[in-house]
Amino acid sequence: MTAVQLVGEHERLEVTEAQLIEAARAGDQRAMGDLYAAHAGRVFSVVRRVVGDEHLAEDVSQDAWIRAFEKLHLFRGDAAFGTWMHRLAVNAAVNRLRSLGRRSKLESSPDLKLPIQEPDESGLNQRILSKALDALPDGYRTVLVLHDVEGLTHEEIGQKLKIAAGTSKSQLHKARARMRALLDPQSRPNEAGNHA
Amino acid sequence: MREHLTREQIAALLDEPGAISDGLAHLDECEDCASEFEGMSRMRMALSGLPDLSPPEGEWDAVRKRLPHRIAAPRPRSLWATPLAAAAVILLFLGGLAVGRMIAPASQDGRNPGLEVAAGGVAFAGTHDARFDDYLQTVGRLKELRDAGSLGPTPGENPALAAERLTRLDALIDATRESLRMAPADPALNDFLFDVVDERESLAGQLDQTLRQASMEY
Repeated sequence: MTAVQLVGEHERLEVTEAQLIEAARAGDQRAMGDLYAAHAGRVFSVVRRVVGDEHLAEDVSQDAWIRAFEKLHLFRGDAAFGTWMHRLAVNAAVNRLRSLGRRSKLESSPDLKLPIQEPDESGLNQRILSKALDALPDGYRTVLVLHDVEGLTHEEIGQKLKIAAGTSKSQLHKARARMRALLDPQSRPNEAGNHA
Repeated sequence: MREHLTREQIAALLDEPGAISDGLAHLDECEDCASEFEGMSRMRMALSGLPDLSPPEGEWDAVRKRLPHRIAAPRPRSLWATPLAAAAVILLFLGGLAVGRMIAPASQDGRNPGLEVAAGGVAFAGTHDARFDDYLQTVGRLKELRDAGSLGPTPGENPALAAERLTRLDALIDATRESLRMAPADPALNDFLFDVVDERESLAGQLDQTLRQASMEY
């Protein structure tokens, strides 16, 4: 059980997440705030990476939290609050993209190219990587983020996106190829060529 | 003369070395493709290591301002709840128990690292493996049962059918919550509960809209 430390003016109290959830269910906004503080980064990260847009992510992330607190009376999996919240955040992001029916950014910006980045000691530059993710079409980005960033299986992705696991796999390969083309456009042609 | 692999083929080789016939042998011989494979591996590693982002400043204040009048109270139990809840609890219990039996004897001392079999459910500490997939399939079958008519016919625009399905969804929600008391950390049960709640809310919205339209027509 996750322990969360609350620091008041004159007290230092350690409570479990289960206790926080119970208090939040009863309408205690301080408990809600503590739950938010413990998981906000994780929630915003997955939402931001799936929707690929800062302002949209802010809106979706807020909605996910509102929805979570509205539904908290239905939640009984105390030890899995993070999992529950993560799922809720992913669903909120995926549903928002679906409802917007957004056209892919690459379709409308075919000339988009990112500078070639040599990997530094810590690997690829995170800012460039995030920028390339944002430039992917929504469908590619969603599968790539859920699989390569969030670690979901193709079966789990298939359930969330209502697609077959094989489709998820195929989308992932295309997404990785597109990412590589964005990150390193001159390294090789997109299609197979012949050896000299 | 031999063709280079495409980036998509190389992407497939990252997860499944046998995905492309002679793919690995080609990487051994072709410097260009091996270099692309290396680049893609680095990219995947970097993606998996992306750190959490900071939430926007003021997000909690914005959420908090929208909270007070929106917190929902627990629904009263319906008359359908008891028999249907019992049936669904048994169904979920059997599903969890079957999976538990199937995978529990994985180690010699009878304990399975990363897996706790609770009464009526299975809680996984390590998730993304074949056992977890098996369990998801079991819960998938529960969903199929739900969709296959155990909750009554699909209501369409018939308010009476919608109301009936709504009542049965309420019972299923209560039953799933009962199951979660037994296996509170079970992610699949949490998922299941959420799906049913989503469907219930969507149906309630549709029913409300239908009834409003009907009242306006009269």
